[in-house]
Amino acid sequence: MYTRRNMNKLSKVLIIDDSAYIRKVLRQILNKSPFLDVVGTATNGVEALEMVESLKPDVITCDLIMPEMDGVTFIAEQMKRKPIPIVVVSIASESGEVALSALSAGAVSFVQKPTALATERVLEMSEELIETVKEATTISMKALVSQMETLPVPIPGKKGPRSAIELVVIGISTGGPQGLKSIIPPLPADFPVPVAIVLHMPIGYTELYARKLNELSNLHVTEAREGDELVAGSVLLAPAGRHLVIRRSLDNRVTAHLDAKPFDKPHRPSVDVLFESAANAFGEQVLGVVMTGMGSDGTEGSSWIKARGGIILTEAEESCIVYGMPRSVVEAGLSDMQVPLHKLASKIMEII
Amino acid sequence: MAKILIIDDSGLSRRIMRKILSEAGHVVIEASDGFSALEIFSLEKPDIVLLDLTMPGITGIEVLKQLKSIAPEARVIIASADIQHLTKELVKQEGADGFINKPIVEEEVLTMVNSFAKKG
Repeated sequence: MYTRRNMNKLSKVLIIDDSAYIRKVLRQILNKSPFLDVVGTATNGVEALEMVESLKPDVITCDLIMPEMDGVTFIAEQMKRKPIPIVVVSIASESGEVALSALSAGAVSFVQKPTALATERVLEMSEELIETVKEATTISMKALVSQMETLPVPIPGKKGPRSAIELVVIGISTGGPQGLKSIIPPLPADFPVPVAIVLHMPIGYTELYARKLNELSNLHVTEAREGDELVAGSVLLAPAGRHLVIRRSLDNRVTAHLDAKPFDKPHRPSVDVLFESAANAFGEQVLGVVMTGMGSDGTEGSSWIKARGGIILTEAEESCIVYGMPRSVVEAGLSDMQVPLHKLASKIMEII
Repeated sequence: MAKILIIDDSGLSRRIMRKILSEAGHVVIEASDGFSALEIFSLEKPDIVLLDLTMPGITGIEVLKQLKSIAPEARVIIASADIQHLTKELVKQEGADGFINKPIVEEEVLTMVNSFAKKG
């Protein structure tokens, strides 16, 4: 299975950062993993392009704000020359917008650099960093590149009778910021039901990402707030750090509720939590979509939706950046149909 | 309304089943393995048993045999992802009253459970 090809072999890492201290710390952290080997460090984009040629790394970590050539320019240039998985390691508060541009340029994912690298904070981030870098070595660059090259085509409004579906819920992780851009913007302004999304992203980015996605879309995309009503035409994105739960009140109003609980989920927000609440509030009138991402978040939630008679679509392996979450749903026998990314928006339109 | 015993080693499966059945007005009790299931069965005397086949320890088939020997009148519905014809034949021979495919669907579960609940 090509998506797992590098998981158990030693992957070569190149670190790019203008701070000598950060380079040292990142090298120490990454070398702790038996699966990663830091083969070199570069201080800016220009140097990095040369080092990629000679060292042939399997994965790159990249700072964004650097002299000579900054991170986004480097990523765009490297993707043009030879696509390699790149993980952005940067500070959210300073460079949120830039981090999103880095994703558009072809970066795979990003990890927040702690603002003050006190010893214990470094330990806090080290596990996340190692996991993200390891995960990056397993992704399908082919899928990522083809996704960047295809522009989403707008879909005409719904003709003919509507089905019983009253809510669309989407779960997505690695490759998510790119993937959602392929399915939300094409949806027509008169899309007849609300959409709720869980996207795994570091804290501090979801609000900004929702705004970006909103600019590209006909629908109204916002980061979900407590009490937001779910109405046709609205797309709610769960804020990083909070579970998004859908509730139906006694007077039949459907609202978003944000919660820190449950604590036992590896992700917050969790796709499982959103899907389970959707199944409980809407019964068989739910369409759940599980897209690219590592792990198995969404599988338990999908069994709630299926048990209530709802429909589950999964993104097909060919277009997934990481075929993890959809695979888990398929293997549990819960997927009604596997659809490649470029057909997903029109399939959703067809079903509702 | 019936008293239903769910025997399944998956906590998620039990939670989903419990929610569906209790919302429909049934009384639900649970067991997570075959051994405790047999004990709970003799104490609680449920009307209907929903039984998973693949569990650690005593298998579902063995639980089915034991249940039918303790209480031949017990209604036992098998809920399993194993859709092989052979498996279905085997559990039928051992006296299972019904078979539900996993992943389960609310409607199917309720239709089958209700048909037994009415017959009493």
